[in-house]
Amino acid sequence: MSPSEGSGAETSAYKPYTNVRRPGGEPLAQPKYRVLVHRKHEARWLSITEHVPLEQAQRFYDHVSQTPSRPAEGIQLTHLRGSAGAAKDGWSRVFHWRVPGSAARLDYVHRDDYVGERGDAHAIVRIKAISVSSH
Amino acid sequence: MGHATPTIFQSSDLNQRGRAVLDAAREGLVRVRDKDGVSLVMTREERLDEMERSRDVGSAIASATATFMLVEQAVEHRPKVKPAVAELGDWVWARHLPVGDLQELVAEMRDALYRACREFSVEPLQESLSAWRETAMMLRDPLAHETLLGEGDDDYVDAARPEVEAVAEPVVA
Repeated sequence: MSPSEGSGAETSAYKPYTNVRRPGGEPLAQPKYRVLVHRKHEARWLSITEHVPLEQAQRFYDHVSQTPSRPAEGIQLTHLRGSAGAAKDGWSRVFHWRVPGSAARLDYVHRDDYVGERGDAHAIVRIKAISVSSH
Repeated sequence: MGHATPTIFQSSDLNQRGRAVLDAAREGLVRVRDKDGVSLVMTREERLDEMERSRDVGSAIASATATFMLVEQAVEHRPKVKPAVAELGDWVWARHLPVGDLQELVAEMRDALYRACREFSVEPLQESLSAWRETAMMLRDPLAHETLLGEGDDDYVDAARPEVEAVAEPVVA
């Protein structure tokens, strides 16, 4: 027994060799949408937390994987205009997610009935573009 | 806002009829003529705030209208040619938009200007301008330009939820 155990003394929160709790909160329930990113933006996605706080990146992911067409509280979610933002080939208009306090912007489309190679329908989100440059 | 007819007082009224001056200012506009003829105006602070807001809205609408007229003229006269920067007024960012999108920009901004005038509000302008500006700034990024405007480009891979990297536990001998 350590000196503090059972003595009523305040125990230390320091626990060596124990992983810290992951910041950003737990993920939501099973994703409703499979989330894909354009291969040309894959590197940007993998390094997104260098430009955006982890909590914001996870919030984006949880939003698009659950309710991509709904407004997100406290987030500037709009549609791109012109040919870059038009709906086509069964996909939604292009949503534009601007991360507050950051230069990062993410554009995505979604589709509820995407038929894959196996012939079954999926709900898919495609991240079409990521920009992290300052405007 | 209509133009209220101001009640006029002389500077000597401030001492002799101070209460009357204040009461008139509470009800509307008071003009006090100083001894040298300079005209001073007194009114409620919230009325001044409203006048300043109206001035700002009018200024924003006027500025947007001036730029709109420049861009509209350039797009309508040469619809297949990208306007020069000098023809874009305050909307310099529009140079990043495809030429084919400029007529849509003009159409939406015409509608936004009309609504802004009718409602005397900058919100319709801000909403449309912000969306078009964000679009243009995305297209300024060469990689985003390529994937947003590319045709039939279906090269997508799975995106995992961002997580912190796992912390390796030290090996205890």
